[in-house]
Amino acid sequence: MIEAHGLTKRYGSKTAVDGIDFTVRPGRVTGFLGPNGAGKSTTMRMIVGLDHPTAGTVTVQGRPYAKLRSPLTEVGALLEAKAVHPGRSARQHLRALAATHGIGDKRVDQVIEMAGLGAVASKRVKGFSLGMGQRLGIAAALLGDPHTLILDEPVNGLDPEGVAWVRGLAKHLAAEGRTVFLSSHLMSEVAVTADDLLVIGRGRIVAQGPVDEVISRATSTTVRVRSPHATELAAALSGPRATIDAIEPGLIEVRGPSAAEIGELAAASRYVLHELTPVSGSLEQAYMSLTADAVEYHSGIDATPTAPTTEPEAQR
Amino acid sequence: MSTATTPRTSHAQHSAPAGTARLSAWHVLRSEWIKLWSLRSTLWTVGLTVAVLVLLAWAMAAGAASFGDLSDAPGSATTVYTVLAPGQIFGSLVLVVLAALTVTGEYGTGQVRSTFTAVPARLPVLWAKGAVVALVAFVTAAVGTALSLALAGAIVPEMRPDWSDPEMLRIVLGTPLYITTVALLGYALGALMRNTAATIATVIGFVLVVESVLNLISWKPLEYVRPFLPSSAGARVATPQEFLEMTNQMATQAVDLSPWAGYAVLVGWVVAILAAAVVRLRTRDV
Repeated sequence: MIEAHGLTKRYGSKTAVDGIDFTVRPGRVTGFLGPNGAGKSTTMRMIVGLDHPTAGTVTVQGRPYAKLRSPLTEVGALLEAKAVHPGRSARQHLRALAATHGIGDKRVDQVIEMAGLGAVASKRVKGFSLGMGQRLGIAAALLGDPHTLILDEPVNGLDPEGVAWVRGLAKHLAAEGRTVFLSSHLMSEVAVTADDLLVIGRGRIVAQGPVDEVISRATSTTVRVRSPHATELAAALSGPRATIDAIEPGLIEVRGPSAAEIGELAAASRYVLHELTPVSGSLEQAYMSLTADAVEYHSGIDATPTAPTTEPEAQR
Repeated sequence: MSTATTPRTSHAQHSAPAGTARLSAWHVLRSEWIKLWSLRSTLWTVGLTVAVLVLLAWAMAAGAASFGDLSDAPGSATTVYTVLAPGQIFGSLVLVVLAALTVTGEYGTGQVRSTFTAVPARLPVLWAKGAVVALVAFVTAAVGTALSLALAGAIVPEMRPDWSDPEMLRIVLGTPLYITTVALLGYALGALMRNTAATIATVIGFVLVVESVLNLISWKPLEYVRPFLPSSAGARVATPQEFLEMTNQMATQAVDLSPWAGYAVLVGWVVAILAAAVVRLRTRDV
């Protein structure tokens, strides 16, 4: 369990993380989603105490990270590939980290095998590819067999087999009741792995909750309406709930009301409809609309990308 | 990389040991020991230090054998000091680099983020690393000093230490002690500055250039500065009284510090810089 309250990080006049609140629950994979520079890495560094918050608190299992008695068995963190001295071999790097908690060489060899580093464990990290560095970072995170995993962009630089491994690992660890918190800037990547989503944009949480809910909230279904009476229909539909775009004479796209509502309204007004098609948004669209302008949609979990205005052009 | 073995995710591998795992000062010390010796540069530097010390002693002995006349003070602390003096300077310069690198290397490579994720209290790392550096520097300098004396004594019998000289023990033990403490000065400065080039330039520039220049300028107020320059003051612990009086005449000093008082000044510098490093470590991000 990771809990943040009013967590804030400012660098000079720039606010990287702006008073965010969130809870990451055990037994689930929580995806931390946001564009580059949205504050994901800063937030993760604050969780493990590398960066001090300007304001607010963040705790792991109810305690600040720095107060944990044995941090490596509580939290495993991959914060960036190659947070490693390049002159040391992978095995020696892991041995040195393990030694801080008295974890033996047997466990070191285990995580080396798990991460698929067996063949290169005695080579110096200097020659590692990005993917190998990533595997080493994940191996380090697993050393203490921790209750909580924090992985910043874990599939970055991995080959398809490695990506599949990380996904399987995350789900497996969550199924064992552990807390798994992983970040990504790609919605498609997180959507297949995560149970919950935490979406951050410009340092603020723009959405959080189960993946399906976040996506359906963020994805507005547009209805294509083709009718000889398109202008009159647009006027009848106009209201605070609807956004209407005139695509071409006789064709409008309506966001807000469902296809059924539009059909019923058309029938009641005796307008002829030639087409009535709901068009669902994609994952990526949902993500883009969530994060495109984080300032406008900063109102937490209630954020929806539907602007509550009617466009007057549609009525002409 | 194609050399990777197939990654696995079987249950048995996750429910591994770690039940008794616990962060402790002793464990952090072990970790720092592993870290130091798993870098090739450590072996190189340690080997180089011993080699430099022995080579310099050989040069001094060979020089004395061909030109010198040591018959008036065979085996005296002053004679032994002439064998060890060049090594005191060069030995500390090499070990300063090793000491600084142990800490600046962590910041330069990003290793420090792994280190402080494992030890979030941070200070235990500073102490453990300092202890490991001090131990390795002292043993290295002591071995170098012992080999130097053995070699010089073998070449020039008059250079064999006469242990009845009351200053002998202080000179022979003071040499590795001084070298170790200068190395710790580099370590403390590295912990404060977090940058290899800046640290090494500062400590070597200060010891080699600034202190020498300040000892040459005959401006009255400098008499109050000279006794408290870290390296010059610390070196007094490994310098016989005869040479200390010569130094005092060449560069007049307002206070005539005893050998151990001079060493205390050097230790004071290390403590002060470490204190600043502690403040930075506790308050700053990494």
